[in-house]
Amino acid sequence: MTQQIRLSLPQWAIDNVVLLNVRLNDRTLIRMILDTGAKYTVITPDVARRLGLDLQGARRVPVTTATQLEMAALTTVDQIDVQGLVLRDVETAVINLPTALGVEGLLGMSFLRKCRMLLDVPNRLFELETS
Amino acid sequence: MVTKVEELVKTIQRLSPSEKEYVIGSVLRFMQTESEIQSLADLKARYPGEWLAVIIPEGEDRYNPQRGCLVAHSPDKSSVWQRVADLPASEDVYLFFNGPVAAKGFGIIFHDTADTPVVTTVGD
Repeated sequence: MTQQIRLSLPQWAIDNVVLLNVRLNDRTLIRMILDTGAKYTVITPDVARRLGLDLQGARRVPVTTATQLEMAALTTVDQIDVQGLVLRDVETAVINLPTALGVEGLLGMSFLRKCRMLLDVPNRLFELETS
Repeated sequence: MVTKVEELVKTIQRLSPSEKEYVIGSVLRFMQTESEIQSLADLKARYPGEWLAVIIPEGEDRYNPQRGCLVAHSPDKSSVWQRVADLPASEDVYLFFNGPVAAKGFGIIFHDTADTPVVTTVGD
């Protein structure tokens, strides 16, 4: 079934980066940066704990941040909901994000690769559709 | 309105003690919850530059809530998460930073060394 959303983004959501309010597993709402440059969708360890994800046996992937090489746990989030467009079982890396970034996650390609996307920055329009 | 309130009082008076306790308790809980619900615009004005966690009340917009019950606020993100960790998993929680995101001049790079390098840069 095709899902489609069409959003008029508020100014705060499109200043330096594109920000989206994203619901995870239907009980946690966080802000994420729309990030076509990130292979994985990313959440912080705090979010992972809130979602009750068990990272003990999770596969690890090497990720280089601005300062160091880190091993990020790779897990699966049951449900990622962008304003009503819901994808299930999304591969997600768990890594600390710098507090200065001001977000708790990146909406990366492990989510976006299943979607068609239109981003019209001057008109602050964002459309997302599952293919 | 007065008539309806009087009818309600009479109805409650006819209830058994345990039923009365249940009804009055429910009303008090509802009143308490309502009094704790605040406008997010007010909270944002009161706590600039801080991390905020709020419970989204039933009936509120689930993606862009305008009102919520404040759980915690602090410039220190981890202390806010500690308070959120104490909440039941069933609570609908919104956690966000009330300030500029990805300040100018700030950059972040992710490089998946096992595959093609991927780079993200934010800010100027």
